[in-house]
Amino acid sequence: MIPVAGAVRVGDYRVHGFRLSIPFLLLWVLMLPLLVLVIPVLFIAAFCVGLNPFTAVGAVLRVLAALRGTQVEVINDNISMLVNLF
Amino acid sequence: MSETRRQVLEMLAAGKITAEEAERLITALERDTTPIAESRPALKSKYLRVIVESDDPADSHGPVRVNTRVPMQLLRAGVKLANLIPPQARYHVDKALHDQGIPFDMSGINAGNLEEIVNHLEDLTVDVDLDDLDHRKQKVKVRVFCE
Repeated sequence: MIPVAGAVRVGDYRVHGFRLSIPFLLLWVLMLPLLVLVIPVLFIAAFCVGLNPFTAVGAVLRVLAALRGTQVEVINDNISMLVNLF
Repeated sequence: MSETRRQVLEMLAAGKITAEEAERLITALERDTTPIAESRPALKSKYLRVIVESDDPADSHGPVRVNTRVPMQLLRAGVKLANLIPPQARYHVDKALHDQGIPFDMSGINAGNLEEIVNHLEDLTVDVDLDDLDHRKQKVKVRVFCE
């Protein structure tokens, strides 16, 4: 399942920084009309390079779905940043 | 039926060994022929974790720690996506990597190889300690493991 939400925390890790939640679900819904326009272009591009368009779209969707659970955290003396995908 | 198993059954038929002895022999043969990977319960690591700790005295911000957790599924999906890269594009990528001093062949990456790497990573922790990187008295520690 593709990530439905993300969280970004920025701030000093010793005290509370600010935390921003990103509802990807809304983003996906908003991008749906764009996707309908992009998919025919993707299919044509896949045909041009000799790829099966369904395989190509499937592979991209698999990468999107696998993003869930990704976490990146960077900490130094002054600031910390955490990005989490749910 | 394997040759050794047939020999055991022939010895049993000839009355050279008892049924109990034949059973013990066949059990021992099965144990010897079972691959190690099959006999070991499959470990299910879900994430690849990469931790980098860098301490550069020249950097006024102090030591930096990067902690990354990557789902194993993302690695698998990435390899499947990389397999879709057309051969002519692969050639250009390989050439660019060679030009940068990285002798890497993209065609060598496939799902089978990745599974092998993942299986080995499940039992492995890679620790890399670099002292005095680029003669800047910088210390870098990298840890790669699965969880």
